[in-house]
Amino acid sequence: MKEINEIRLKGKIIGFDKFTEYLLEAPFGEDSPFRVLKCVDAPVSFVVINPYYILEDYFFDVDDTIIEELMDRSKSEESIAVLCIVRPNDRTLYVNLRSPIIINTKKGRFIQVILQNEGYGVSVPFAIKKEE
Amino acid sequence: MLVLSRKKNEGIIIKGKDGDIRIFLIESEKGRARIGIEAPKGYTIVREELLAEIEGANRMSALKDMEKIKRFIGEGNK
Repeated sequence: MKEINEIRLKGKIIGFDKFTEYLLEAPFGEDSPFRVLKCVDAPVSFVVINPYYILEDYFFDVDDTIIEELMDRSKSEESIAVLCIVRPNDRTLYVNLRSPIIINTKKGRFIQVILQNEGYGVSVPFAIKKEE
Repeated sequence: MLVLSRKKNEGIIIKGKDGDIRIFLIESEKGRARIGIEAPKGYTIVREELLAEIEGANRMSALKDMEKIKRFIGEGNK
């Protein structure tokens, strides 16, 4: 995740089709599992999290054509990152594990996909782990 | 909207530039139908209500002001 520090990304969030330009920022520090996906054209930001922070065996299986579209046939999987949108409500955070954002950090592109895995919820509550 | 009647195992083809989408009725009873769908690569098949749920979650996740959540997440990190 180290390489993700204020990079410009093109892509669409489902339901926000008008907006295609985002900045991925690390306002909580590089070591935090949280990032912010900030829309360039409107005051709209999404807090996102590395899903492996919540589920160590998080698994996403997507159609090859989606990866191909992201990769442009340059198959360096090192530049692929996965982040899930977080929704704060009162004192609880919810994460959408069902439709992660798949990012190609090199190409500056992302796609919010919908996984077929029925086991991953759209609004899963989780707690922030306290650092010792 | 085009409305068609289908019996068990009968299908409908949607012809497209990227290939054909095939929809067929597997079984139906008591107001519930099991439908099979085949689509070319690049299509995501998703239940309408799931898409609506994801759109709703995304809308509720969109923040105008980052200050409150910064404090919230900052507290947890300490």
